[in-house]
Amino acid sequence: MKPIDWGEAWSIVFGGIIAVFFIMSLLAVLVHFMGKIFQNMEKRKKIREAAAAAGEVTK
Amino acid sequence: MKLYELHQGVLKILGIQMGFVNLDLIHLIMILVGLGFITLAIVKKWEPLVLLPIGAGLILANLPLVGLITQPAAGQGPGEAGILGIILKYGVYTWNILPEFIFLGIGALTDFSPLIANPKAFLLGAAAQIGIYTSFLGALAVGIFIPDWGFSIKEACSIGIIGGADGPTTIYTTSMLAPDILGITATAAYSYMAMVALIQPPIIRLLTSKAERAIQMKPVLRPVSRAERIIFPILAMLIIVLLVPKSGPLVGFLFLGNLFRESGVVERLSKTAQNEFINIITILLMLGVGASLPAERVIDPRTLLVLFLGFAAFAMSTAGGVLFGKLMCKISKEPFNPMIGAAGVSAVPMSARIVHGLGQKANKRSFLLMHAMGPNVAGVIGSAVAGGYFLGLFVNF
Repeated sequence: MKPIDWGEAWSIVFGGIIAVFFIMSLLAVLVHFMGKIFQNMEKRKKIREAAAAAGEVTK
Repeated sequence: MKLYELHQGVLKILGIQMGFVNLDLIHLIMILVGLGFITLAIVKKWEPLVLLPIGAGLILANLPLVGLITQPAAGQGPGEAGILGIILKYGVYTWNILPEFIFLGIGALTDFSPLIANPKAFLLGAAAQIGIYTSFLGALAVGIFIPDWGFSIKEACSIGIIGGADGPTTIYTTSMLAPDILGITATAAYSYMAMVALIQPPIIRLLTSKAERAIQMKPVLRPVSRAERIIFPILAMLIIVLLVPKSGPLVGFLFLGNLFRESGVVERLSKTAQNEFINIITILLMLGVGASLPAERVIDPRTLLVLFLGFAAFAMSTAGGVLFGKLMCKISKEPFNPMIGAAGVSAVPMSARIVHGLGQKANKRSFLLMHAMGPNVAGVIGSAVAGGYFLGLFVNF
């Protein structure tokens, strides 16, 4: 069997850990902001609905 | 023909063709192992959907003279290839389509809401892949101490990936990098997933104090809108596949299945993927896994090393998740139970259930299941990324 190139092995390990953490962190950030956007949209929708309901009551 | 000659002929046929005469000790041991798997599935109910067909495949593959695992080859006569050989050759070794199909079903069965509601769980899913890399190094280190039993870098990748606790990813990666050890890595991955209730609790208890295990997290996660649930699989698929293209087949099918589920417009496809489709593929893949363990391959002493390194990978992944959970517990403003890090291994949903059970033992008012499901489903994504990264280093397609 070929002797192991430990330099290559360690670069695979560090590369792999960095790749996994980078992608998962990126997804975490994107999903976090996606959540913020949708939560804000939901909040605005509720405010609009409440305002519309209040308007109807005033009429 | 004299009766005596007839008798001699019958004996000759029995001598050549009868299974009992050709059954040797090693095949008998493998059959007993298969029976053991079936017993665990039926009596202990450990992952019966997986262990029962694997056990049956193992028995069928090791029955002498049956020829079920003879793979199709050029120049063969009709009927010479065995059915398990055909499943293995086309489902796993040559086309490698069964793991992706399983991922399609898993995607259709998975609710990513706990992960979308708590994106920090992605990091726990990443931390719980650490065992993949420690066992990769461990497998390479074997060659230093016992040169004859050493593993190549590709084999080490295949052994390490067991630490992701994800059967289809293990099969997909190993079949491309080290097909010779496919049977044992796949069996190890599925067996350790089945034994998650035995493996994880002692590691979690060792690394956490009772006070930490009793931490009560927020009672509910925020509700996730339908739009978020639809956008998530598309967004995640694009990001992951553009960064790690070789994870595309697994990740693509995982998120395709999830899109079936969340879109709400293809209910028939979603239900089929969740039920009949994944069930049929599970039968084929698990029989194939069992059939990839004929005695001739298992008697290699390196098999025991693969089992040990796979176990170490699983244990280290659990430890990695818990230790990262402890770090998050320290820096989090809200109460954070570090145990949920252990669910970052992708044994869905057993890992999350175990964490929930341990939490309940420490504090009756603690409900960790939904919190643990986040890292749990993140682990599925993390292990597919790790597998795709390994493939990207060695495979061109």
